[in-house]
Amino acid sequence: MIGRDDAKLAAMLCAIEPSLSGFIVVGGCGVGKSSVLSKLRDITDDMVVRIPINADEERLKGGLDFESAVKGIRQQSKGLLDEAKDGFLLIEGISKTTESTLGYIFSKKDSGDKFRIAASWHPDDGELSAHYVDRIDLCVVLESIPDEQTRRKIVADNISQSNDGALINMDKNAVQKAKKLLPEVELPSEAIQKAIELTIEANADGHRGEIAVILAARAYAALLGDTTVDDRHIKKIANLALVHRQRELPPPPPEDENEEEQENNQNTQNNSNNEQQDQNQDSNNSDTEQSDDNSDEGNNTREGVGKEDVIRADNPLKLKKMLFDKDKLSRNILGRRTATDTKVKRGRTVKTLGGFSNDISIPATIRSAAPWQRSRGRKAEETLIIDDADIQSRKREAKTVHTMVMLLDISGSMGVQARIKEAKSACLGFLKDAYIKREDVAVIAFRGNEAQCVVAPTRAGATVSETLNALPTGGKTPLAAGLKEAYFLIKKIRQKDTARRITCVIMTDAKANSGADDGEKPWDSAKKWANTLVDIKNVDWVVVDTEGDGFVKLGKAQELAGILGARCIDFDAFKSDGMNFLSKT
Amino acid sequence: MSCVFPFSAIVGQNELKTALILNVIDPSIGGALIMGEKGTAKSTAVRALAALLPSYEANICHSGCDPRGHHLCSDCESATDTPTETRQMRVVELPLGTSEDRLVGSLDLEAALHHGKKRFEPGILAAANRNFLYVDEVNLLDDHLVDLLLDAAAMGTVHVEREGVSFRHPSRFVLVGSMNPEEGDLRPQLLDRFGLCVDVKALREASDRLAVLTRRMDFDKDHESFLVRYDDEQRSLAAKIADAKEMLPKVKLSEQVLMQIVSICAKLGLDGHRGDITLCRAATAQAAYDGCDSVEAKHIRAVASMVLLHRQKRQPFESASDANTKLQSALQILGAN
Repeated sequence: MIGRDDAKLAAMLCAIEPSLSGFIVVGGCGVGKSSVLSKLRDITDDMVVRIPINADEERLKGGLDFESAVKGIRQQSKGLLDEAKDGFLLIEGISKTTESTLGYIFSKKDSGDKFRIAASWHPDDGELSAHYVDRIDLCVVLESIPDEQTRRKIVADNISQSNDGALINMDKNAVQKAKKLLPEVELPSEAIQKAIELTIEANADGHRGEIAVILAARAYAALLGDTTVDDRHIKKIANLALVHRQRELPPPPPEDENEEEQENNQNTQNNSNNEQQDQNQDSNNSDTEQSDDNSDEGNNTREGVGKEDVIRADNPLKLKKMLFDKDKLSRNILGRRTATDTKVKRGRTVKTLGGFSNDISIPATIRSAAPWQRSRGRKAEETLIIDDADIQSRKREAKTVHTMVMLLDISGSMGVQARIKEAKSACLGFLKDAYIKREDVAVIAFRGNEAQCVVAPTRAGATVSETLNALPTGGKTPLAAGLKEAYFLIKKIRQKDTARRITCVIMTDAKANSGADDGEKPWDSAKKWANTLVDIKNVDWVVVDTEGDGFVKLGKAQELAGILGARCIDFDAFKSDGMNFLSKT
Repeated sequence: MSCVFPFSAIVGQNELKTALILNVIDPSIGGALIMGEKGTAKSTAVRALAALLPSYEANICHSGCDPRGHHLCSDCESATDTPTETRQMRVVELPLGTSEDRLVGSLDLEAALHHGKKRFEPGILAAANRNFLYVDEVNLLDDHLVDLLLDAAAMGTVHVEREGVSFRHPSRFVLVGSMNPEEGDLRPQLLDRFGLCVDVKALREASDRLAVLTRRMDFDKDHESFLVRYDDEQRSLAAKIADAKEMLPKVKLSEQVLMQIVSICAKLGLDGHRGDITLCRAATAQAAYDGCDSVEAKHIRAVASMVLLHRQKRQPFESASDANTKLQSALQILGAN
């Protein structure tokens, strides 16, 4: 057995214990996810039913079988989920499966349908809601195996057998034996205690964690031929049941706030202190290189002073997921973010409606015509007699893309306490999200007296992050100019695609003090532009308030959000508190 | 006689030609991605390849199942003694605007409406089985189709579960894509699927450019006499490929060479194992093409950049690094030239 032992073990445990809800194998390209899944049939006699990504609702749920229907026989055809009863549902690339399919599968699982899930997931393919991940009992994260000897073996095996799964030998006999032994395996209370301890230690959510640990440990004991579950079993499999349920620990509180304050004021030149401070500030900063040694000193120069700094971002921040409501437009450009009606023949069929269109559902039409065949005089083997009234058209729903416009305040006030660093990291977080969903990103930056579209809508992530990092901070806050620039950019995007959904994230403290139109006060001018912007339809506004908690909170950002009808998010509340087991980049 | 520009009349572009030929010799290399500007013989070369492809025994069914293979389509599986025929391996094209139904197949409308029968109408993925599948401007292919394509490529079979029909057929194809990188990137998952990747540039030498021009003009003036002129070259190239194909199973890959390959890939820190495996296969095919009975350092060197360059730059936020320098330093394991 070479590598991937955990994945094999997870598969075997699920084959032994049908009460486990299944397993998921997570990993990048070519690490052997599919190889493990494809071997499942070799170790179990239970049904293994594949859910291909092309599966439609009709096959998933089953329905009236039209072949029988035209013969006058009323017969339901089995759906894929019925076929998998007491067996496995095999879902390769689970994040590519449509949301509606997953929703249906998990709701069936919740309502007591007996099947286990065997899935693979490549995180770059798309997101998988933590909500779903949690319902799959066991999880294995596969990484490529760096050690040369192991690599050599894998390669040699592959070449000689030219079979991807040749080296994954899972023992069917062992599984069968364990299955027999399983009812006799005892579960002492110490073992349960241990399972609970480990689950708490792992900071896992909910109670599915310990149940999974216990079920898996019992199956593991049976596999080893032991009749009592002990610590050894629990420890061995705990990670499988808990790795995907761990919550990110809250960041440790800053050790001494006074000290930090002092360092800020001193404009320290001591690099090591500087780095330490940095780590206190950032929960997810571990090994980022510090290319600009003095970059993250607090810049105490208030707006208006001509000093500027270039502060680089950290790793992309993992941000809370933003959900948007479906709007009323029907589109033909589809993507991965928000539900939309479609003009093209793609997406899931929500329902079928009587009447003609360019998207007729043949099975539904035949089904509605079937009962009338005899009365209309059709004889066996003749062409079906279809009336206009039988015609059924599909109504479809799919997801559409957004274009992400980021409006970034890079004035002097953002330099204070290196807020800009976090803001840039947050921008990178958006960028990463947009990359996974394959969306365009544009960036407008404003400072001094003007705003500039520094990145025109693009999908080239590398260029955007370089540009972001190179942006200097300093100067006044020309909010009005920024909003004006956004207005023209959004208009331009809409010229190309009138139905394009746009998300506009404005990161600012909104303390406008420059950049106004002639004869106007900065803040009034900003309000005027905000009022102009709000007239553009189908733009989702998000204001990220970077003001922070000072002695005097002006709350200008909230006012701006009010005008735009935007959700206003406090900067610090913005970071994700979600599952972090895959967030390392 | 076909009116496709003959493969052997293409001037220069040796890397491109080699990448395609290696895939004919060993289809398990995993296809090729051809990157380059417009008008650099990308599609011409792929279409011309058809004339050099071998033939194979196939069941008479939609996906041309291998009569001796383990993976059969649902039709062949349920039938006994499916008649067979000899088929010419071909280049099946996947047009950009293809619909999902067309790609994976769908309900046979005629059978449904005329006879009330549920029958499967196979799509392009069935036709592509055991053939080349060519996608021009692959970077512009709809995301959704890319997912379906990747799924088929990963599994080697296509399961269709649509409109009440359930059907399964093998879909093992050599995926060849061409793209102009200026028009957009390719998803990393798709990039990783291509065994080989070549960067095609317009020829710089005036004499080469002249040759391109005159050959093209001669071809356009009179297809038939042009084809006759290249007939011998085409035949000998086809024979060389056939010989290499026959030789391939006998080419030895020593423990030492295998270790070298693994070290190169480990040094480059490649994700997954597809790089290692493809490098072995491509070097072996190269040795067979050169008529050598064992893989040597020079064969690895010949194919290394095709196999490894596109696997290095994969991080979405990594700036374009000097991948080639890294590759050359990793190749030092092989010793001096």
